[in-house]
Amino acid sequence: MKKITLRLLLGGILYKKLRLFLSVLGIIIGVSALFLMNTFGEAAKKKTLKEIETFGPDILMIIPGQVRVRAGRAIQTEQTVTLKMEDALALEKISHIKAFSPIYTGMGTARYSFKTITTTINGVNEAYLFIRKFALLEGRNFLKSEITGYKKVAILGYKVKRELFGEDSAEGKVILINKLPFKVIGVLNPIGIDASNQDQDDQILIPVTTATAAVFNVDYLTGIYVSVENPSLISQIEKNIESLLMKRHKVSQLNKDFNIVKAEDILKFRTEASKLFTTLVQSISIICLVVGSLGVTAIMLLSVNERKKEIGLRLAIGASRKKILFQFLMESIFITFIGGLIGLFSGIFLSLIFLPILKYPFVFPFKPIIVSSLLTIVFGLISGVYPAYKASKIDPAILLKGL
Amino acid sequence: MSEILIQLIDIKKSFQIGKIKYEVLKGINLEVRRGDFLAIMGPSGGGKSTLLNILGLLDRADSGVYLFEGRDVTTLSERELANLRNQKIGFIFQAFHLVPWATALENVLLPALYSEKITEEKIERAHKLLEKLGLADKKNHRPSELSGGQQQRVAIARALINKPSLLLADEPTGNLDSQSSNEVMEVLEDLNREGLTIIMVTHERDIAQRAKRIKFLKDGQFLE
Repeated sequence: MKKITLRLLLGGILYKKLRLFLSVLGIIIGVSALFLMNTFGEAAKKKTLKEIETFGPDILMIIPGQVRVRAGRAIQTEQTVTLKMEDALALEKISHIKAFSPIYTGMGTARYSFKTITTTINGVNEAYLFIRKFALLEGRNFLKSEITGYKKVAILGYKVKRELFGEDSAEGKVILINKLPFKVIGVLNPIGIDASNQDQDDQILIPVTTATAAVFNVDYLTGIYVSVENPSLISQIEKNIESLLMKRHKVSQLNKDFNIVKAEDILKFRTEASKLFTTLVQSISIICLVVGSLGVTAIMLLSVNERKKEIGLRLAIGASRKKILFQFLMESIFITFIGGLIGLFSGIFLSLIFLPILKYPFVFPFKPIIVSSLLTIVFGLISGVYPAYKASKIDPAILLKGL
Repeated sequence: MSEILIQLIDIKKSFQIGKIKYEVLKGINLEVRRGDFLAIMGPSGGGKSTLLNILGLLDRADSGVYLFEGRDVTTLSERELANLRNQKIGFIFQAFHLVPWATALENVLLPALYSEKITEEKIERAHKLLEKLGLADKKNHRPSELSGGQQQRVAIARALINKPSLLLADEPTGNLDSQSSNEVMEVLEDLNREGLTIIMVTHERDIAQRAKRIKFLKDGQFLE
């Protein structure tokens, strides 16, 4: 199509620029909001997935006490002391369990030279790193003999290492945990915040035996991590563990004193929690788009009324009513589409600013782009139908009535 | 005698406003041959505009026969009428009716938009028409940057772009001063000399007298 053809068909749009801008403002806001919300939804989903990566589909966690799920997170409602080391060892009897690690979590102070920090102390066994898929930045994992032998050795989280040792190597150094000397044997890679919303870089891992007997002086566990051979067997194994523990604790379904959580549950709770929010914001964006397209309708009606003469002239010199209808429909679509495009770019711009601020991973959202573009075309069409119809019904005979 | 371009036989048209029925055209008979230059005069409300609308295929008569180039146009569809207007009839108006956002050249090319495509040939012709009408240096001006006479000449160029067989002019000098009026009339006389058929509605006697013949329309009928 020649440039001049395009000019003659759509040139009227740009005649009144300020008005044009005001009329598409609603569309711009609607589309950028829609885009932002979709992008944030995607980013949040990606973040969640990344968080539960260390809590893979082959992992089960046994938590003592009643567990409630609040805001997508498993929350232990009361401290229970009924989960014992013997329970963990009894899991050996269940088939298809690849590995398990008892865990005792407590807070403690760690000290090296003159630096003292408070951090999470996790008592675990030699399988824990493997189950959680944690990698070591330096040093080595626990030995089985160190677990059974109540040894005072520690693996530091990345942040703990940085705070106590800075850039220096920590391996082989001795730190004080709750005033007891521990030899550092390894440092974890940076991991970040995991599905349980704990910063996995801000922790120290020590043998669970040492943790319960020497550091915290307790005879119970705060959990057991289990990894299974095959994720498809996970519900069967969950049932087996449940019945085993119910028998050991002499409890029934009703007064069960433990809970088993798997990655799938966490993902499900998270998704449900964010669903309401997403729906709400998306409806608001859609309403904004509707209002915006009503604005376009109003402006187009005004424009048709103002350009009656031009339309009459086009009809007089041989335009068919269909062509006029088409022309004005195209104008509306064009206007909303341009508005949509501007909205899209401001959406991208804003998400580039806000995603890093909220520590969300960057996503390139194809779906939101396609959805917003299609929606603006649809809304352009809807907002243009009536004005275009009005335009096509103009009587060219008005041209001859003097002015 | 040259061939007949337009023939109106007993054309009637009335309008209903509220309960009252106005008979605007009460049986018009008219013959226009190729190369003719006809001025139609008459008082306001005499039916001049209605007649021009019917002649220009913008409106339909209630009864009667309208033959354009020997073809009965009273039975044509809207689409066919639009095509005929596009190809055979050029319009100029008292208020020029140029598209305000388009340049002179673009305005001239507007009818070409609705014929098939805007070809290089059409663009070339638009340039030539504007040059011929003394607007060579105004091609890229907007209507608001042109004087009344210049605007009307752009409108004439627009009317001529598709090489029509009939030019309909509705009070072409009505909004112009006497000097511009004279210029526009000279253009029309030149075009007529080149063979273009023109029908012009006016109520200025000195303008009408520059046509080849004059007809008076009063109360929906031609006076003899």
